[in-house]
Amino acid sequence: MTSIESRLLALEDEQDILRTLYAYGHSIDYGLEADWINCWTEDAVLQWPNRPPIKGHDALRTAFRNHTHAPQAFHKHVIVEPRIDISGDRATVQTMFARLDRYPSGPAVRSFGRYLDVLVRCKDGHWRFQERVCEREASRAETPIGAHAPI
Amino acid sequence: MASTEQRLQALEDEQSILDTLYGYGHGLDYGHEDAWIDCWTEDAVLDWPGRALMRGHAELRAGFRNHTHAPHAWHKHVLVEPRISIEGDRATVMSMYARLDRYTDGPKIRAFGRYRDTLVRCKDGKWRIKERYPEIESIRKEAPIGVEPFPDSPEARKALAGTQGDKS
Repeated sequence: MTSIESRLLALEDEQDILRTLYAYGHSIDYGLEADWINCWTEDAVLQWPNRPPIKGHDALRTAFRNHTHAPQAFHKHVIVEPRIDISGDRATVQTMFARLDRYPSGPAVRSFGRYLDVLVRCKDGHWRFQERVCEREASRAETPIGAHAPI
Repeated sequence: MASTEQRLQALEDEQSILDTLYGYGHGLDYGHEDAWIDCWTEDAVLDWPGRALMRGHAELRAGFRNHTHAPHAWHKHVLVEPRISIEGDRATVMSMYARLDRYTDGPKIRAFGRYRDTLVRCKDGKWRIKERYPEIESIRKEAPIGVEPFPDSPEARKALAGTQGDKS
């Protein structure tokens, strides 16, 4: 039987991982740069589709600044059904995502796919991405209002 | 260092807040009036886009009864990614939402945006919404099956025109 302490810690770990997963979407959608950078370890790697890997905080910051945010473009990075597997100070997570965007005809799904993540527990106790691979499985060709054309 | 009791309480608080956030959508979509009213404090404020601000249970109940529910209209108030910040007996929450509706050519997203909420811990231990400010960021002009067009008002017109970021 696992101790109360370790059971409690497992629940807290999962909650903190969810906070990081949610912070990614909210901060990129609303332009909260410090929040978004705080989601990543110093040496983190982000692999967006059809682009070179983005490594480390400086490159991540540049990528963030090149991405659209509200109010220039209103979009939603929606994640659902995170499958979190924690082993000590490392966690792997698979999550479904859908990106919602504004089109002249109204709101629509721009793309969907999944995120393959590795998060680690950092010295301050927070879990941060060490790696995020974004696999896009379907994408709309039409460019949304205010957003960049698909790559 | 927080005690075991405090850490457990923090997890229970977050679970209770999620129950209330989810109760809003389910209650509204399926016409569960009492369950929906129970999501709110007595003095709660709800600022639905394009309508007069509602304050207190009597106005919220009237707002609920003027809203569509299944089976008259099938829709889903989908809430995702709630960022919950708790301080004592008060919590602020930012959530994304999308509203799904039925159209003649199939289901579509009618609108998306975010909810800006304040919840408080009530005397019975349940967390209830004290303030909800929904922000519409994108909306479809076409009315879904069984649903009236979006209420006409300066705020609604602003939202429809795409001048975003307001409470609309």
